[in-house]
Amino acid sequence: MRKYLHYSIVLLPLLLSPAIAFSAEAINQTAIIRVDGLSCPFCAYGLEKNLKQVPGVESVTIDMSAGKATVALKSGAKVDDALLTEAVKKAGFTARGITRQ
Amino acid sequence: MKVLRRFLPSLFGLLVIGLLAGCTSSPADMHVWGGLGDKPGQFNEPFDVAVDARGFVYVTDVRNRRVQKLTADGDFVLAFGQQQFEKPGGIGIGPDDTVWVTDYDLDRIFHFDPNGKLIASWGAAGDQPGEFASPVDVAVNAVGQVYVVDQYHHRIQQFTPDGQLIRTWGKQGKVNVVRSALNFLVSDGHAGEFYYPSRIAIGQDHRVYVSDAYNNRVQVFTANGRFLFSFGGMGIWNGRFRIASGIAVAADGSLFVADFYNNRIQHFDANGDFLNAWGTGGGSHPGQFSGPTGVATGRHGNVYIADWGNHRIQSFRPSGEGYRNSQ
Repeated sequence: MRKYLHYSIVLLPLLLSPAIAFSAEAINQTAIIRVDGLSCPFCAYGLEKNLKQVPGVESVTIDMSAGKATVALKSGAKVDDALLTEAVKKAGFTARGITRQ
Repeated sequence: MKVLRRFLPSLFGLLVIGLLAGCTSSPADMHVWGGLGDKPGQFNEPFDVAVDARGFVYVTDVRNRRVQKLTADGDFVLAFGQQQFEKPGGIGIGPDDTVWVTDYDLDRIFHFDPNGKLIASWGAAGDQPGEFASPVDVAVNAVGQVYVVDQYHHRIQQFTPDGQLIRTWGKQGKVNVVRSALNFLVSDGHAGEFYYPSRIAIGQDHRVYVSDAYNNRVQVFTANGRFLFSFGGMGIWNGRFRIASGIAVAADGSLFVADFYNNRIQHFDANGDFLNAWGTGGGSHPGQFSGPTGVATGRHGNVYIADWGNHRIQSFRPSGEGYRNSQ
Protein backbone atom coordinates (compact mmCIF):
# COMPACT_ATOMS: atom_id res chain seq x y z
CA MET A 1 0.00 0.00 0.00
CA ARG A 2 2.80 2.34 0.96
CA LYS A 3 4.48 1.52 -2.35
CA TYR A 4 1.38 2.60 -4.34
CA LEU A 5 1.24 5.79 -2.31
CA HIS A 6 4.81 6.59 -3.26
CA TYR A 7 4.03 5.95 -6.91
CA SER A 8 1.00 8.19 -6.65
CA ILE A 9 3.00 11.02 -5.12
CA VAL A 10 5.53 10.79 -7.94
CA LEU A 11 3.06 10.26 -10.78
CA LEU A 12 0.27 12.62 -9.79
CA PRO A 13 2.14 15.86 -10.53
CA LEU A 14 3.33 14.39 -13.81
CA LEU A 15 -0.22 13.44 -14.79
CA LEU A 16 -1.63 16.78 -13.75
CA SER A 17 1.10 18.97 -15.22
CA PRO A 18 -0.28 18.96 -18.81
CA ALA A 19 -3.69 19.89 -17.47
CA ILE A 20 -2.19 22.64 -15.36
CA ALA A 21 -0.17 23.88 -18.30
CA PHE A 22 -3.22 23.71 -20.57
CA SER A 23 -5.45 25.59 -18.17
CA ALA A 24 -2.78 28.24 -17.62
CA GLU A 25 -2.64 28.76 -21.38
CA ALA A 26 -6.43 28.81 -21.63
CA ILE A 27 -6.62 31.38 -18.87
CA ASN A 28 -4.47 33.66 -20.97
CA GLN A 29 -6.47 33.25 -24.15
CA THR A 30 -8.85 36.12 -23.48
CA ALA A 31 -7.96 39.71 -22.75
CA ILE A 32 -10.60 42.08 -21.43
CA ILE A 33 -9.82 45.74 -22.04
CA ARG A 34 -11.66 48.53 -20.26
CA VAL A 35 -12.07 51.45 -22.64
CA ASP A 36 -13.42 54.90 -21.89
CA GLY A 37 -15.66 56.78 -24.31
CA LEU A 38 -17.19 53.90 -26.24
CA SER A 39 -20.44 55.50 -27.24
CA CYS A 40 -21.64 54.36 -30.65
CA PRO A 41 -20.94 51.88 -33.43
CA PHE A 42 -19.08 54.52 -35.41
CA CYS A 43 -16.29 54.29 -32.85
CA ALA A 44 -16.87 50.74 -31.59
CA TYR A 45 -16.37 49.39 -35.10
CA GLY A 46 -13.09 51.31 -35.31
CA LEU A 47 -11.88 49.83 -32.05
CA GLU A 48 -12.91 46.36 -33.17
CA LYS A 49 -11.09 46.80 -36.48
CA ASN A 50 -7.84 47.98 -34.88
CA LEU A 51 -7.80 45.21 -32.29
CA LYS A 52 -8.48 42.56 -34.95
CA GLN A 53 -5.39 43.73 -36.81
CA VAL A 54 -3.11 42.84 -33.87
CA PRO A 55 -1.23 39.60 -34.76
CA GLY A 56 -2.52 36.72 -32.65
CA VAL A 57 -6.03 38.11 -32.16
CA GLU A 58 -8.78 35.66 -33.10
CA SER A 59 -11.88 37.75 -32.53
CA VAL A 60 -13.07 40.89 -30.78
CA THR A 61 -16.37 41.57 -29.05
CA ILE A 62 -17.26 45.08 -27.97
CA ASP A 63 -19.69 45.77 -25.14
CA MET A 64 -20.46 49.45 -25.53
CA SER A 65 -22.64 49.81 -22.47
CA ALA A 66 -20.05 48.15 -20.22
CA GLY A 67 -17.17 49.98 -21.92
CA LYS A 68 -15.09 46.92 -22.56
CA ALA A 69 -13.57 44.96 -25.42
CA THR A 70 -13.19 41.21 -25.06
CA VAL A 71 -10.31 39.97 -27.19
CA ALA A 72 -10.05 36.24 -27.90
CA LEU A 73 -6.51 35.21 -28.79
CA LYS A 74 -5.49 32.43 -31.14
CA SER A 75 -4.43 29.22 -29.47
CA GLY A 76 -0.85 29.53 -28.26
CA ALA A 77 -0.54 33.15 -29.32
CA LYS A 78 1.28 35.50 -27.00
CA VAL A 79 0.04 39.04 -27.35
CA ASP A 80 1.58 41.72 -25.16
CA ASP A 81 -0.64 44.18 -23.37
CA ALA A 82 1.42 46.93 -24.99
CA LEU A 83 0.27 45.84 -28.46
CA LEU A 84 -3.36 45.85 -27.39
CA THR A 85 -2.96 49.22 -25.70
CA GLU A 86 -1.41 50.63 -28.87
CA ALA A 87 -4.28 49.32 -30.98
CA VAL A 88 -6.78 50.96 -28.63
CA LYS A 89 -4.88 54.23 -28.89
CA LYS A 90 -4.79 54.00 -32.70
CA ALA A 91 -8.58 53.63 -32.65
CA GLY A 92 -8.82 56.92 -30.75
CA PHE A 93 -9.37 55.59 -27.23
CA THR A 94 -7.46 55.01 -24.03
CA ALA A 95 -7.18 51.56 -22.46
CA ARG A 96 -7.91 51.85 -18.74
CA GLY A 97 -6.83 48.36 -17.84
CA ILE A 98 -6.36 44.90 -19.29
CA THR A 99 -7.23 41.70 -17.46
CA ARG A 100 -6.58 38.18 -18.68
CA GLN A 101 -8.84 35.20 -18.33
CA MET B 1 -30.11 83.53 -0.82
CA LYS B 2 -32.73 86.14 -1.69
CA VAL B 3 -31.31 86.32 -5.18
CA LEU B 4 -31.51 82.53 -5.46
CA ARG B 5 -35.15 82.57 -4.30
CA ARG B 6 -35.98 85.25 -6.82
CA PHE B 7 -34.48 83.35 -9.74
CA LEU B 8 -35.43 79.83 -8.68
CA PRO B 9 -38.90 79.91 -10.31
CA SER B 10 -37.34 81.21 -13.52
CA LEU B 11 -34.72 78.47 -13.48
CA PHE B 12 -37.43 75.88 -12.86
CA GLY B 13 -39.45 77.31 -15.74
CA LEU B 14 -36.45 77.11 -18.05
CA LEU B 15 -35.89 73.50 -17.00
CA VAL B 16 -39.51 72.59 -17.77
CA ILE B 17 -39.38 74.36 -21.13
CA GLY B 18 -36.15 72.55 -21.92
CA LEU B 19 -37.59 69.17 -21.06
CA LEU B 20 -40.74 69.84 -23.05
CA ALA B 21 -38.63 70.93 -25.99
CA GLY B 22 -36.93 67.57 -25.86
CA CYS B 23 -40.24 65.67 -25.96
CA THR B 24 -41.37 64.70 -29.41
CA SER B 25 -43.93 62.49 -31.02
CA SER B 26 -44.13 60.36 -34.12
CA PRO B 27 -45.59 61.14 -37.52
CA ALA B 28 -48.53 59.03 -38.50
CA ASP B 29 -48.37 55.76 -40.43
CA MET B 30 -45.41 54.03 -38.91
CA HIS B 31 -44.14 50.56 -39.80
CA VAL B 32 -41.55 48.34 -38.16
CA TRP B 33 -39.67 45.52 -39.91
CA GLY B 34 -37.07 43.02 -38.91
CA GLY B 35 -35.72 42.12 -35.52
CA LEU B 36 -32.56 40.34 -34.43
CA GLY B 37 -31.62 37.30 -36.48
CA ASP B 38 -29.96 36.05 -39.64
CA LYS B 39 -33.01 34.93 -41.60
CA PRO B 40 -34.24 36.86 -44.62
CA GLY B 41 -35.80 40.07 -43.41
CA GLN B 42 -34.06 39.93 -40.03
CA PHE B 43 -31.04 42.02 -39.10
CA ASN B 44 -28.02 41.97 -36.86
CA GLU B 45 -26.92 45.59 -36.47
CA PRO B 46 -28.55 47.29 -39.45
CA PHE B 47 -26.22 50.23 -39.94
CA ASP B 48 -27.37 52.18 -42.96
CA VAL B 49 -30.29 52.34 -45.34
CA ALA B 50 -30.86 53.62 -48.88
CA VAL B 51 -33.82 53.75 -51.24
CA ASP B 52 -33.65 53.54 -55.04
CA ALA B 53 -35.84 55.40 -57.53
CA ARG B 54 -38.26 52.47 -57.75
CA GLY B 55 -38.78 52.46 -53.99
CA PHE B 56 -36.72 49.39 -53.08
CA VAL B 57 -34.99 49.66 -49.73
CA TYR B 58 -31.40 48.47 -49.19
CA VAL B 59 -29.94 47.86 -45.73
CA THR B 60 -26.36 47.14 -44.66
CA ASP B 61 -26.75 44.24 -42.23
CA VAL B 62 -23.37 44.42 -40.51
CA ARG B 63 -23.03 41.23 -38.47
CA ASN B 64 -24.72 39.14 -41.15
CA ARG B 65 -22.16 40.55 -43.61
CA ARG B 66 -24.75 41.27 -46.27
CA VAL B 67 -26.96 43.85 -47.86
CA GLN B 68 -30.66 43.12 -47.86
CA LYS B 69 -32.99 44.45 -50.51
CA LEU B 70 -36.62 44.86 -49.48
CA THR B 71 -39.78 46.32 -50.94
CA ALA B 72 -41.06 49.68 -49.72
CA ASP B 73 -43.32 47.71 -47.35
CA GLY B 74 -40.46 45.66 -45.92
CA ASP B 75 -40.90 42.40 -47.82
CA PHE B 76 -37.63 40.61 -48.42
CA VAL B 77 -36.41 40.58 -52.04
CA LEU B 78 -32.81 39.34 -51.92
CA ALA B 79 -29.53 39.47 -50.01
CA PHE B 80 -26.11 39.97 -51.51
CA GLY B 81 -22.46 40.69 -50.80
CA GLN B 82 -21.82 37.80 -48.42
CA GLN B 83 -18.86 36.76 -50.58
CA GLN B 84 -17.37 40.24 -50.54
CA PHE B 85 -18.01 41.89 -47.20
CA GLU B 86 -16.16 41.90 -43.94
CA LYS B 87 -18.13 44.76 -42.44
CA PRO B 88 -20.55 46.54 -44.79
CA GLY B 89 -20.87 50.11 -43.56
CA GLY B 90 -22.58 52.84 -45.53
CA ILE B 91 -24.77 52.48 -48.60
CA GLY B 92 -25.78 54.81 -51.40
CA ILE B 93 -27.70 54.60 -54.67
CA GLY B 94 -26.39 55.89 -57.99
CA PRO B 95 -28.45 57.77 -60.58
CA ASP B 96 -28.78 54.50 -62.52
CA ASP B 97 -30.14 52.70 -59.42
CA THR B 98 -26.88 50.79 -58.91
CA VAL B 99 -25.84 50.19 -55.31
CA TRP B 100 -22.65 51.44 -53.67
CA VAL B 101 -21.42 50.01 -50.37
CA THR B 102 -18.38 50.82 -48.23
CA ASP B 103 -16.61 48.08 -46.34
CA TYR B 104 -15.37 49.55 -43.10
CA ASP B 105 -12.83 46.82 -42.35
CA LEU B 106 -11.61 46.10 -45.89
CA ASP B 107 -11.18 49.81 -46.73
CA ARG B 108 -12.89 49.18 -50.03
CA ILE B 109 -15.85 50.40 -52.08
CA PHE B 110 -18.17 47.89 -53.74
CA HIS B 111 -20.50 48.60 -56.65
CA PHE B 112 -23.44 46.28 -57.38
CA ASP B 113 -26.26 46.22 -59.87
CA PRO B 114 -29.83 46.28 -58.49
CA ASN B 115 -29.90 42.46 -58.51
CA GLY B 116 -26.87 42.26 -56.24
CA LYS B 117 -24.38 41.31 -58.95
CA LEU B 118 -20.95 42.78 -58.32
CA ILE B 119 -19.98 45.33 -60.96
CA ALA B 120 -16.67 46.53 -59.55
CA SER B 121 -14.74 47.26 -56.39
CA TRP B 122 -11.89 49.63 -55.68
CA GLY B 123 -9.95 51.27 -52.87
CA ALA B 124 -7.33 50.20 -50.38
CA ALA B 125 -6.11 50.99 -46.88
CA GLY B 126 -3.56 53.78 -46.59
CA ASP B 127 -3.00 57.39 -45.72
CA GLN B 128 -2.44 58.82 -49.19
CA PRO B 129 -5.13 60.74 -51.07
CA GLY B 130 -7.51 58.20 -52.55
CA GLU B 131 -6.76 55.64 -49.85
CA PHE B 132 -8.99 54.89 -46.88
CA ALA B 133 -9.02 54.39 -43.14
CA SER B 134 -12.49 53.00 -42.39
CA PRO B 135 -14.77 54.32 -45.13
CA VAL B 136 -18.08 54.56 -43.34
CA ASP B 137 -20.47 55.97 -45.91
CA VAL B 138 -20.91 56.71 -49.59
CA ALA B 139 -23.18 58.95 -51.67
CA VAL B 140 -23.40 59.39 -55.42
CA ASN B 141 -24.38 62.60 -57.17
CA ALA B 142 -26.51 63.06 -60.28
CA VAL B 143 -23.54 62.68 -62.66
CA GLY B 144 -22.27 59.54 -60.93
CA GLN B 145 -19.44 61.01 -58.88
CA VAL B 146 -18.86 59.04 -55.69
CA TYR B 147 -18.33 60.74 -52.34
CA VAL B 148 -16.84 58.67 -49.53
CA VAL B 149 -16.71 59.48 -45.81
CA ASP B 150 -13.16 58.47 -44.88
CA GLN B 151 -13.81 58.35 -41.16
CA TYR B 152 -10.45 57.83 -39.52
CA HIS B 153 -8.84 60.37 -41.87
CA HIS B 154 -11.61 62.83 -40.92
CA ARG B 155 -12.11 63.75 -44.56
CA ILE B 156 -14.37 63.44 -47.59
CA GLN B 157 -13.02 61.97 -50.81
CA GLN B 158 -14.66 62.47 -54.18
CA PHE B 159 -14.11 59.97 -57.01
CA THR B 160 -15.12 59.19 -60.55
CA PRO B 161 -17.33 56.08 -60.79
CA ASP B 162 -14.28 53.95 -61.58
CA GLY B 163 -12.41 55.11 -58.50
CA GLN B 164 -10.19 57.89 -59.87
CA LEU B 165 -9.71 60.54 -57.21
CA ILE B 166 -11.17 63.94 -58.04
CA ARG B 167 -10.50 65.73 -54.76
CA THR B 168 -10.33 65.32 -51.04
CA TRP B 169 -11.26 67.80 -48.34
CA GLY B 170 -11.34 68.11 -44.59
CA LYS B 171 -8.96 67.19 -41.81
CA GLN B 172 -9.21 66.37 -38.13
CA GLY B 173 -10.64 69.22 -36.08
CA LYS B 174 -12.25 68.63 -32.71
CA VAL B 175 -14.73 71.20 -31.46
CA ASN B 176 -14.56 71.84 -27.75
CA VAL B 177 -17.71 70.40 -26.15
CA VAL B 178 -18.55 73.61 -24.29
CA ARG B 179 -18.10 75.69 -27.44
CA SER B 180 -20.28 73.21 -29.29
CA ALA B 181 -23.04 73.50 -26.68
CA LEU B 182 -22.81 77.29 -26.77
CA ASN B 183 -22.35 77.77 -30.50
CA PHE B 184 -25.54 79.84 -30.64
CA LEU B 185 -23.51 82.50 -28.83
CA VAL B 186 -20.10 82.09 -30.44
CA SER B 187 -19.15 80.06 -33.52
CA ASP B 188 -17.77 76.64 -32.70
CA GLY B 189 -15.08 77.08 -35.36
CA HIS B 190 -13.27 74.32 -37.24
CA ALA B 191 -15.34 75.00 -40.35
CA GLY B 192 -14.67 72.37 -42.98
CA GLU B 193 -12.88 70.15 -40.47
CA PHE B 194 -14.32 66.96 -39.03
CA TYR B 195 -14.13 64.79 -35.96
CA TYR B 196 -15.17 61.28 -36.96
CA PRO B 197 -17.64 62.16 -39.72
CA SER B 198 -20.26 59.45 -40.04
CA ARG B 199 -22.69 59.95 -42.92
CA ILE B 200 -23.08 61.87 -46.17
CA ALA B 201 -25.98 62.87 -48.40
CA ILE B 202 -26.29 64.88 -51.59
CA GLY B 203 -29.16 67.20 -52.36
CA GLN B 204 -30.83 67.82 -55.66
CA ASP B 205 -29.01 71.16 -55.66
CA HIS B 206 -25.74 69.10 -55.58
CA ARG B 207 -24.93 70.35 -52.11
CA VAL B 208 -23.07 67.86 -49.95
CA TYR B 209 -24.31 67.31 -46.38
CA VAL B 210 -21.97 65.64 -43.89
CA SER B 211 -22.85 64.43 -40.40
CA ASP B 212 -19.82 65.52 -38.40
CA ALA B 213 -20.62 62.95 -35.72
CA TYR B 214 -18.38 63.76 -32.79
CA ASN B 215 -18.60 67.49 -33.38
CA ASN B 216 -22.38 67.05 -33.03
CA ARG B 217 -23.23 69.03 -36.15
CA VAL B 218 -24.03 68.86 -39.84
CA GLN B 219 -21.76 70.64 -42.29
CA VAL B 220 -22.92 71.72 -45.73
CA PHE B 221 -20.62 72.05 -48.76
CA THR B 222 -20.81 72.77 -52.45
CA ALA B 223 -20.35 69.82 -54.80
CA ASN B 224 -16.65 70.75 -54.93
CA GLY B 225 -16.17 70.78 -51.17
CA ARG B 226 -16.37 74.49 -50.45
CA PHE B 227 -17.79 75.04 -46.97
CA LEU B 228 -21.15 76.81 -46.90
CA PHE B 229 -22.53 76.57 -43.36
CA SER B 230 -23.13 74.22 -40.47
CA PHE B 231 -25.93 73.67 -37.97
CA GLY B 232 -26.54 71.78 -34.77
CA GLY B 233 -24.23 71.60 -31.78
CA MET B 234 -24.05 69.50 -28.65
CA GLY B 235 -27.28 69.25 -26.64
CA ILE B 236 -30.60 67.57 -26.03
CA TRP B 237 -32.84 70.37 -27.25
CA ASN B 238 -34.50 70.55 -30.61
CA GLY B 239 -31.96 71.19 -33.30
CA ARG B 240 -29.07 69.90 -31.20
CA PHE B 241 -27.31 66.55 -31.39
CA ARG B 242 -25.53 63.98 -29.34
CA ILE B 243 -23.64 62.29 -32.17
CA ALA B 244 -25.09 63.24 -35.52
CA SER B 245 -25.41 60.09 -37.62
CA GLY B 246 -27.65 59.15 -40.56
CA ILE B 247 -28.64 61.94 -42.91
CA ALA B 248 -30.98 62.13 -45.88
CA VAL B 249 -32.30 64.87 -48.15
CA ALA B 250 -36.00 64.84 -49.00
CA ALA B 251 -37.45 65.79 -52.38
CA ASP B 252 -38.35 69.24 -51.06
CA GLY B 253 -34.75 69.86 -49.95
CA SER B 254 -35.45 69.39 -46.27
CA LEU B 255 -33.14 67.17 -44.21
CA PHE B 256 -33.66 64.26 -41.86
CA VAL B 257 -30.85 63.63 -39.41
CA ALA B 258 -30.52 60.73 -36.98
CA ASP B 259 -29.49 61.89 -33.53
CA PHE B 260 -27.80 58.79 -32.14
CA TYR B 261 -27.62 59.34 -28.40
CA ASN B 262 -30.81 61.37 -28.18
CA ASN B 263 -32.52 58.42 -29.90
CA ARG B 264 -34.54 60.55 -32.27
CA ILE B 265 -34.87 61.74 -35.84
CA GLN B 266 -34.81 65.46 -36.48
CA HIS B 267 -36.23 67.24 -39.50
CA PHE B 268 -34.68 70.49 -40.73
CA ASP B 269 -35.38 72.80 -43.62
CA ALA B 270 -32.76 73.36 -46.31
CA ASN B 271 -31.20 76.16 -44.26
CA GLY B 272 -30.73 73.94 -41.23
CA ASP B 273 -33.62 75.42 -39.28
CA PHE B 274 -35.40 72.93 -37.05
CA LEU B 275 -38.85 71.74 -38.14
CA ASN B 276 -39.74 68.68 -36.10
CA ALA B 277 -38.39 65.65 -34.28
CA TRP B 278 -39.67 62.27 -33.20
CA GLY B 279 -38.56 59.32 -31.14
CA THR B 280 -38.49 58.92 -27.40
CA GLY B 281 -35.58 57.87 -25.28
CA GLY B 282 -34.04 54.62 -26.18
CA GLY B 283 -36.89 52.14 -26.14
CA SER B 284 -38.00 49.32 -28.38
CA HIS B 285 -41.64 50.19 -28.90
CA PRO B 286 -42.68 51.28 -32.39
CA GLY B 287 -41.66 54.89 -32.85
CA GLN B 288 -38.81 54.58 -30.36
CA PHE B 289 -35.17 54.17 -31.32
CA SER B 290 -32.10 52.59 -29.85
CA GLY B 291 -29.22 54.38 -31.51
CA PRO B 292 -30.44 55.26 -35.02
CA THR B 293 -27.52 55.21 -37.48
CA GLY B 294 -29.04 55.54 -40.94
CA VAL B 295 -31.79 57.51 -42.66
CA ALA B 296 -33.14 57.44 -46.19
CA THR B 297 -36.05 59.08 -47.93
CA GLY B 298 -38.19 57.38 -50.52
CA ARG B 299 -41.20 57.90 -52.66
CA HIS B 300 -44.30 59.60 -51.28
CA GLY B 301 -42.22 61.27 -48.58
CA ASN B 302 -41.46 58.02 -46.77
CA VAL B 303 -38.59 58.09 -44.30
CA TYR B 304 -36.69 54.91 -43.43
CA ILE B 305 -34.57 54.61 -40.29
CA ALA B 306 -31.88 52.03 -39.50
CA ASP B 307 -32.73 51.46 -35.82
CA TRP B 308 -29.34 49.92 -35.09
CA GLY B 309 -29.72 48.88 -31.46
CA ASN B 310 -33.19 47.41 -32.04
CA HIS B 311 -31.98 45.47 -35.12
CA ARG B 312 -34.84 46.73 -37.23
CA ILE B 313 -35.98 49.24 -39.81
CA GLN B 314 -38.72 51.72 -39.08
CA SER B 315 -40.55 53.56 -41.81
CA PHE B 316 -42.63 56.67 -41.41
CA ARG B 317 -45.00 58.37 -43.74
CA PRO B 318 -45.97 61.99 -43.30
CA SER B 319 -49.44 62.69 -42.07
CA GLY B 320 -51.78 64.68 -44.28
CA GLU B 321 -50.30 67.85 -42.90
CA GLY B 322 -46.72 66.68 -43.28
CA TYR B 323 -44.06 66.17 -40.64
CA ARG B 324 -44.10 69.73 -39.44
CA ASN B 325 -47.57 69.47 -37.95
CA SER B 326 -47.44 65.89 -36.81
CA GLN B 327 -46.60 66.58 -33.17
